[in-house]
This record gives sequence, C-alpha cells and structure tokens, in this order.
Amino acid sequence: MTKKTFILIILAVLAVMLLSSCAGNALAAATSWPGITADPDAGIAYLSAGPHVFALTTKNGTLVWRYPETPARNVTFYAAPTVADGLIIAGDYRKSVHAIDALDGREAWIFADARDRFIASAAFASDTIIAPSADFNIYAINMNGNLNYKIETNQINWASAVTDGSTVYAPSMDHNVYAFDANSGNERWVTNVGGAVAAAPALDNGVFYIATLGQEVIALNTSDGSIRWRADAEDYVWSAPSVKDGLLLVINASGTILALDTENGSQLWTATSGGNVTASAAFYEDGFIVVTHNLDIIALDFDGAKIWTRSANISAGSFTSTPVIVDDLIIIPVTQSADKWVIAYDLNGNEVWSFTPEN
Amino acid sequence: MWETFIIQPFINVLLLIYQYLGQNFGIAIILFTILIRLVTYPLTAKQIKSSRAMQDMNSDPEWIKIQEKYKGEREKLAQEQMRFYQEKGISPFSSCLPTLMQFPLILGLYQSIIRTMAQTPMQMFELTRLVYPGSFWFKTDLLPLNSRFLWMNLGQPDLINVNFLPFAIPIMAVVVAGTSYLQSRLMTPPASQPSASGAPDQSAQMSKMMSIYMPLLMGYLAYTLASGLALYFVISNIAGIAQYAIMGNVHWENIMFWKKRTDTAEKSKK
Repeated sequence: MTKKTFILIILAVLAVMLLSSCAGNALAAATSWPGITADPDAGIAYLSAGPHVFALTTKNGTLVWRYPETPARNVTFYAAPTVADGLIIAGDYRKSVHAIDALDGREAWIFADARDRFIASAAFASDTIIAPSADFNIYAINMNGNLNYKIETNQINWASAVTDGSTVYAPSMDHNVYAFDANSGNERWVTNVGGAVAAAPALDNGVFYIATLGQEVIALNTSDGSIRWRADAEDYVWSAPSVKDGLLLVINASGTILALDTENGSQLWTATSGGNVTASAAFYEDGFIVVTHNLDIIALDFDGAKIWTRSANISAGSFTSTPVIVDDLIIIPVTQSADKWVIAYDLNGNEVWSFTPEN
Repeated sequence: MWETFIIQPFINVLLLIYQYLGQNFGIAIILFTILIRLVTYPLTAKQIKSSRAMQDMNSDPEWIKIQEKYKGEREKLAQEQMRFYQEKGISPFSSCLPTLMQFPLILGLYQSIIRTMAQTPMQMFELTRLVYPGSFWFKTDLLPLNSRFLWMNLGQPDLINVNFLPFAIPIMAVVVAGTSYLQSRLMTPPASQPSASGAPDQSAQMSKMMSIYMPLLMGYLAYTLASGLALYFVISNIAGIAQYAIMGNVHWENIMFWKKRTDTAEKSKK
C-alpha cells in the first residue's frame, strides 16, 4: 500500500467518523432529561440519569445504591422510576424494563420483549406494571416480569399512564387517549384529542386532564372519554398538568403558567416564569414550585404571585425535569450538568444538599 | 450562525416538504436530498469538468513528453507542470473548491435530517424551537412526524427478522454498501496509460482501494445508525450517479464485468 493510498483511506475513515459523530449524539447515545421519584415513607429519592438509577436519601442526598453498579453498554435511564411493592421499576432507553430491589439495588428481573425505548415512567395498578414504549405498544407486565397483555397504539408512547386502580388511562403520541381494564387490558374507550400527548395526565374526581403538543388543555370524563372542555395552552405543553383544590396548573413551553378552572377550563390567571419550561408545577403547602431551563426556581402562591426566585449555582445544565417535594425539600434533577446532578433546596430556596456521582 | 443559516432553514424546508408532500418523513428525506443535489448541481458540474480536464491532461502527448523529459528532476517537472496548467487554462484546485463549497450544505442536510427525526422528548422540544414562528407549513397536530417508510422505522437501525434465520438482516446497510460501491465504480475513470517510468498508475490503485473500503464503511454506518440516515445515503448515492450521468461522465464499462471477461477470453484466444 503506497503512502498516498494510506493517507486517502485514513481521510475516508475520518470522514465517516465525522458523520458518525454527528449522528451519535442524536441517535446512538440519545439523551433526554432525567427523571426523579421519591418514596416519602422510605425517605429515598430515585433518580434515572444516564447509565444508572440512583437511590439517594432525601435528607442529605447520600447515595444508597446505584443500578447497575457497572454501566452497561448502550443502556441509559431517563424515565422517572416507579415504586411498586418493594421494587423500583425503570424503563431504559434501549428496550427493557428493569425491576430493582428497592432496598439494595439488586436486579429482580428484566422485561426485554419491547423493540424500542421506554421514555415514559411506568404506572402501577392491580399488581400490574403499565409501561408505555416508543415501539407503538403499551406493555402490561406482572410482578414477575412476564407480559400480561399489550395495547397496540398507532404511534410512539412518551406519556405515562395514570390509573384509578381498576382502569388505566394512557395518552399516546398518536393523538388518542386509551382507557382499558388494568387486569385484562380490555378496552373501555378510545378518544382522539387532536394532538400528541407527551406528558402524563392528571386525574381528579372522575375527570382526566391532559395537555397536548397541539397546544391545548383538555378535560375528559373518565367514565366514557367524552370531552368536557378544551382550552388554549398558547404553546406546546411538555409538562403534565397539576391539579389541586379546583385549580388546574399548566405550564407551556415558553414558560407561561396558566391557572385554569377545573370546571370549565376558563383562565383564572396567568404568570410568567421567564424561561422555557418542560417540568410540571410541584405543589407544597403555601403554593407551588416552577423550574425553568435557565436554572431558575420560582415559588408562587395559589394566586400566581411570586414568593421567591432563586438561580441555581452551577456553571452548566438546565432544569428540565419535574422536581419532587418531600420532607420540606425541593429536590431537582439537573440536565446535562458537569457537576451537580441533583440539587435540594429548602422551602425558602436555600440550597441544602447536592449530589454528584463518583465515577 | 451554523444553526441560524444552515440547520434552521433546512429543517423548515424539510417540514414544508413533509407537510405538503405525503406527510411521510421517508418521502421528505428523498425529496429534500434531491432538492439539495439540484441546488448544488452547478458546483458539481464545475467539479466534474475540472476533474475531466485533469484526467485529459494525463493522456495529453505534450504532458507525457514533459514527464519523460524531466524524469528524475522533480522540481523542474513541478515548474513545467504549473506552466502547462497555465497554458491550458487548468486550475488544479478548481475540482476541490466546489467540493469544499458543497461540504457545509451536505453536512447541514445530514444534521437537519437527524434533528428532524427527533427520537426523544428533548430532541423534539429542540425541534419545535427551530420551527419559524407563525410558519404556515407547520401545524402543531403534525407531531410526531410519521417516520414509518416502507418496512422501516426511520428512527431505528434497519434490521429485519426472518423466521427461519437466527440473525436479523440489515437490508439498508447492504443497499447503502451496494450503491456506494456502484457510485465509486461508475465515477472512477478507467486506468490511464502507465507513466513514462513504467510505474503502476497510483491514482488507479487508490481509486480501487477506495471503491472497496468506502462502501464497507458506509455500510457499517448504515448498519449502526438510524435507517432514515441510511435512506439519505442511498438517495445521495443514486443522485450522485444521476448527476455524473447527465454530464456524460459515468464509466459504465467499470461495472460490465462480463464484457471484460469476454474481452480477456478473446485476447487469450488470439
């Protein structure tokens, strides 16, 4: 092989590597915003972020365990874990659902029948794990990791399902909401809402609230799926609606907080957060917390007045995931942070602890 | 700057095509790749013309004489080569320049396809922020884009499971490797005459090596990446062959293996 030929081949390999690296971020090692769940009784927060699921004490952020101990090739976790009868259920970004022992972080079983990633958190009802997958199916898995049934949809599924114990309500990116029996999977009703749903619904007093990428907020009756009212969300909505005492909060992607009347969807007030928002509002006793992509944390009262605003003290990253409020702490995962992966604040906005994983 | 002037307009054109021509991302990739090839056609044509002029130079009797005359005098030969270029009006860089100018567009096309195929909420969020405000071509109810095309999910690598086989077949990887090989064979000029020194033609050797290694590398890429990108590679290869064919620069004899065999047989008979 001549020197020129060798150089040419090296250049060709470099060109292919360049193309490959351009696609790499977007496809091969796709990333997303992390997910967090807390178990107040156990005092543990479970974080899905990159190659691990972490169990942290809510009190001071001490690492209890991480799963898997050694990162597995091409396996990453971003869907918020679900606590289910002593197990932590976490879908991965490859194609499996992992059941982890909540106490020690050991693998209980892996469900590997899906063909695409799990972006939505699993729901838990009647000893059944409902795991919506991006492979156009919603899987119902029993507590031994075997498939009970699956519901076929017409598109990817990114939104978590909710359940009232007997019926599962699962919105899909195919613009439909599917209601089915949690035990058998028998269809109760299917309603087309006219827009893709990427975030979990809120369920309250027989009414089901969803926000769509069709820039609408919609209330449906759980009994038959009929639409009670629709309201304009003024932008895409990536966050799940939050409901409390007749107040429905929806935050659109531009960061406008819409307070709607649960009865008829009429606008009660609006407030601005000042940044892009993909996280839902988290309620606490005096009001609720909103976090923005600009790393701002805003506490508002139930009338939309700001109580306090703080900015996270980190050099890079964003707040894209919904925080959890437990033990009077606001625990927020950080997306693409170089140092702190989770930051906990007290209810006055003072940083209490942060978590940075060891390599 | 790259985002504003290349990626954002490309993504909006891709979405425009998607909205009005079939609402299928596979069709949008095909049409947009062809569109970009059409837009860059003048540059490609210039590049083909320049490479042809360089090839013709190799068989020019005057140039062959110069090579013979200054055999062993590298510096003098280089000077004479420059003089020859000037006399004949050949610019040695004119075949590289159009390629360099096309490169950002091709890279932009490639990146915009990846970005539009948003496979995670974070990617789709970023995509929605790149749509021009008030775009009549993008209706919110279009999301998510339909990424099913033929047998493929364009966001996933293409692997077909067949019942009687214990492994999955990467159809698109094979098609990408095949079309890449075809393209490199059709665009490679036949080996020029041996040089005055009698040494083997280095450029022919290089082309031969490239026509083997590049398709394998492209096939591997198509095997590992999403099939939407594999589709782009295939269409890009076919469009490249078509452009060369329009310019009358396709060397069909390079793929007529049976003809070569017949010729060799006839020669050996004689």
